[in-house]
Amino acid sequence: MNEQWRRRFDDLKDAYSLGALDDDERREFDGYLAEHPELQAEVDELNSVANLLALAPPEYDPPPELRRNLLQRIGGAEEDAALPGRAPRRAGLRRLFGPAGLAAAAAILAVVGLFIWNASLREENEDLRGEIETRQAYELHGSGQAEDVQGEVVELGRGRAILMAENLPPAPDGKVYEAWLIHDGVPEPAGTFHSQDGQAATRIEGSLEGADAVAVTVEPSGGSSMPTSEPLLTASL
Amino acid sequence: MATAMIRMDGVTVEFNVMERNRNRYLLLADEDLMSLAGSGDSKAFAVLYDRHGRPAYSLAYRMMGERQAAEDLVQEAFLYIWRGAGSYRAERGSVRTWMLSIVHNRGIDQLRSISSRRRMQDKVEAAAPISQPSEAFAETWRNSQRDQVRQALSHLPPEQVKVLELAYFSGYTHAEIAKLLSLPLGTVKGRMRLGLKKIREYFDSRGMEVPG
Repeated sequence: MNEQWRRRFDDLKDAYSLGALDDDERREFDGYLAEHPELQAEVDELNSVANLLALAPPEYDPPPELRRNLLQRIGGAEEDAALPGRAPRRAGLRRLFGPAGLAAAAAILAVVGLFIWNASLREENEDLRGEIETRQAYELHGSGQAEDVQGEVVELGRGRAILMAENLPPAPDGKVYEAWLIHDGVPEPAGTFHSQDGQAATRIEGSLEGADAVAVTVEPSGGSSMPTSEPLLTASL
Repeated sequence: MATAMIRMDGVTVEFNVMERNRNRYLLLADEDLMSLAGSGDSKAFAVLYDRHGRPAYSLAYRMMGERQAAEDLVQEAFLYIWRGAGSYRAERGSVRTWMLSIVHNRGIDQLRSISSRRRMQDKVEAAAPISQPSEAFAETWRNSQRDQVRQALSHLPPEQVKVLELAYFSGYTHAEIAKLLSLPLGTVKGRMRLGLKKIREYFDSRGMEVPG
């Protein structure tokens, strides 16, 4: 590494982490960092210290209308939002089908023609479907004392998933619930969890990809490497 | 219990899980909520706001100095977070750190674009005699990261705190701070370096990990 550049890096790195470089200096620093990725860890560590400052100010409650306005802006009026979905895209669809949007769409149609419009809609359809498919939910079925449990395993994409359940009684004293990923009948531990007030939500440890099912059993506190009881909940994938 | 269903070209997906009791969202980790928000779940996003809106607003208020500007900054930052939730990567740091860094970066952009009126106000404040750490760091509470940060800052010499504050909260560049405080640029850089180093050492000396 060029020693002169290294000195320059050391000279600027603290101000960089505090956001105190001017635009030219920041571009220079970013460029140097891009050429020397081995220095990224050093910068990340400084950033983590500088970022602590964000916690220092006295705390104030944000006004309630800020929350309300924000959720309205993203298309989820109040906390009990309507259909999930990417706000910008849904806003786009609403614009398309709203009164003003129809006029605009008509103008666009006159210019670009029906064919392009169809193609655009198809593309948006594909995007939406892609999003929806990444949010696939698999219903959990309960048995025994968990017969009344309702819940799902929700896939978040890239194999990640969460398990959510309600009406799930607390595990007996000294026991926990443990999730399992089932591959060809072989269970792999996927994390332990508890139920609070009948509600449970936990991340599935491991990837859903290639798994046939998710199961939940009651296990000794700390979890087990292999199930020691019958599955209370199962979801076929 | 509300349910929702979407049909498109033969594909049917039920979203009933998303419409259920919000309490379950409260059990999820930030990273999982961020994943849900990234795929368009506004309720997960609402829970994230409820967890982190207060420190975000507090930071924005500290930076902007008045309520309306702080609200505008938080709203802009959280809209950005909503649109970019899918790009969050846990390996680059915690959700809170990511959110606050977005508030901070956007706050700096705004501060640097406003008129010199506010900057002059800061200049008056900056020129005032320094005898104690600023009020922002006076309170010390226990058992929280916030308190630890405040404790760490209370151990710094006031002149280092002042430089860190002017840089981080007021958006001044190091050259501007040097001019504002009538100090050589090298002195400002040195105070930044020492200030950050001492915060790091404070955490290290107590066996605490600096959160990412």
